[in-house]
Amino acid sequence: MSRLAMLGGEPAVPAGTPAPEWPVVTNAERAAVAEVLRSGRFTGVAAGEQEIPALEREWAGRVGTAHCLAVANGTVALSLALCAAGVAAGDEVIVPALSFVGSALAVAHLGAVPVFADIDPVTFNLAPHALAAARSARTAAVLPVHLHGLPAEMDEICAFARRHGLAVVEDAAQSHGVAYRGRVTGSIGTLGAFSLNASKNLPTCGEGGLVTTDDDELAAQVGRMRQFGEDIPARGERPYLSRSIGWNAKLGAIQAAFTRRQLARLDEASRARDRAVRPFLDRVAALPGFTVPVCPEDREHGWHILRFRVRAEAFGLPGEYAPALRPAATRVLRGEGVPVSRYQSVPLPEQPVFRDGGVAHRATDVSVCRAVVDDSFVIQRAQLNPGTGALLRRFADAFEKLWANRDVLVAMARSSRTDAPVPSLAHTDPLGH
Amino acid sequence: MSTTLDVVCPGCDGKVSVRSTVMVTEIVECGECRGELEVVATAPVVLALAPEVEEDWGE
Repeated sequence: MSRLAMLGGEPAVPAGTPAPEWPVVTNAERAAVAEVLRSGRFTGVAAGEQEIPALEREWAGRVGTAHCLAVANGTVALSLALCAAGVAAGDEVIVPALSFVGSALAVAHLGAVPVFADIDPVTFNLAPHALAAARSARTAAVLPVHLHGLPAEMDEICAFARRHGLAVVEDAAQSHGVAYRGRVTGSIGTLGAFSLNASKNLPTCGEGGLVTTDDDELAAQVGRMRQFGEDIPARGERPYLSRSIGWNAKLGAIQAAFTRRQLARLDEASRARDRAVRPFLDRVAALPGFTVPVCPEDREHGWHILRFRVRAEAFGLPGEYAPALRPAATRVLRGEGVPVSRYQSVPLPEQPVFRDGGVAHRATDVSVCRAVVDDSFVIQRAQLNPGTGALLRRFADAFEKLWANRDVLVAMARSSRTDAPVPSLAHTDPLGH
Repeated sequence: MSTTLDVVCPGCDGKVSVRSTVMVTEIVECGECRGELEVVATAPVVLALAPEVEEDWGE
C-alpha cells in the first residue's frame, strides 16, 4: 500500500504537473480578438459590427431556437429572461436549493421572490416532486438549473409549468450544447439563459451571456432590455427612445469574437471530455466509499463539474460521519495533487443574503440539498481541457490510494467530531512507521 | 494532565513530540526538518504535510 502524500509519500499527481489550460486559447482566438481591436468596432451598436450577431446566429443554430441574444453575463441573462417572461416584483420563482447564488440573485434583482425547492440526491438537479410544495398563488415561473452540465428533468418540470400556467426559464449556465431527449438545453423552456464566464464549457475571455428563445416577442423584449429599453434599428439613425426600463447589458465584440472560435470547437471538445471523464468515473465508482456523477441514457452530460458524495457506511462509520469524512477526503486528495473543492458550502436559502440580509425569499424542505452539500466535494475546471485523460488517470490513482488508506480518513473524521472517542495513547502512528 | 507523544514526521521520518491534548488543525513544527505540520487526527495523532494544490472554483 503506497503512503499518502500528505504523510510523506509520493503524490499521485507528480509535483510540478501543470494545471490543464482552460479555456484553451489558440491562434484562432488571438487572430479574431486582434481583428476586433483593429476594426475599432467594440460594441453591438457600432456600425458594421458583425461578431456579435454572428455569435447569436451560430448559437441559436446550435441550440435549435429561432433567436439568441448576447448579453453581459449569465446572471443578467437570467434576469432578462425572467423579466421578458413576465416575472415582476412580488412574483415567486421556484429555484433549486443547490446552485450558484446567481440563480437566486437574478430573481431578487427583479424584486421577485426566489422559492427554494429541494434537489434529487443522485442528479443534484431540481426534484420534480418538490415543485408542488413550492408553488403558491404568486408563482410566476420555474427556473430549473442544469447543474454541473446534466440536464434537469425538463419533461416533468415543463408539464408542471403547463398545468399551472408558469413560465420555464432554463439556467443553462453549465450545460452548453447538451442534449436532453433529443433537444438541446436552452431550447426546452420558455427561454434559456447561458453564461460565457471564462470557467464555462463555452467560455469567453472574461464575462458574457446568451439568452435563447423561439418566441419573437420575448426575443424583442430581451433585445430591448439589454439596451436601455431602446429598439435599435438594423440600419439608419438611432432614435434614442426608451420604451421600457432597460439595463445596459450588452456583450462586447471582443468577447463575441473569442467565443465564436470556442464554439467552433465545442462539440469536438465535448466528445473528447466525455471520452476522458467516463473511464475516470468508472474507476472511482468501483470504490465503495464514493458515489460518482451519473448520466441517464436519455441525455448527455457536459461534465462541467464532477461531484462526488462520500458514503460513510462504506468507511465503517455511521452516516452522520459523512460531513466529517468530506473534508478529510478533500485534504487527502489535495495532498495527492487533485484540485478538489466544494462548489457551494450551504443551500441557497442559507446564504447570508437571504438568511440574514432581509431579501425576500421562501424555502421549502431542502434536507436533501443540505446532505449533499455536507457530504460531497467536486472537481471543476481540471477536467474541461479535452486533452486531460492522462491527468484524470492520475486522479483515479489518487482516489484508489485514498481508499487503500481509508483508516487514516476514519481517524481524521473521528477526531474532527466533538463526540469523538478519547485519543488512544497506545497508537500514535497509523501507518506503522 | 498533558503528556507528550512521539509521532513520525511525514516530511523526514524524524520524531516529533506533540502534547497528548493536541487539537485537530493545530500546526506543529518538526524539530529535525523544521517542516510545518498540521494535526489532522488525534485518535491516533496523525501529522500531515501542508497541501500544495490550490483549489479551483467556478460559478
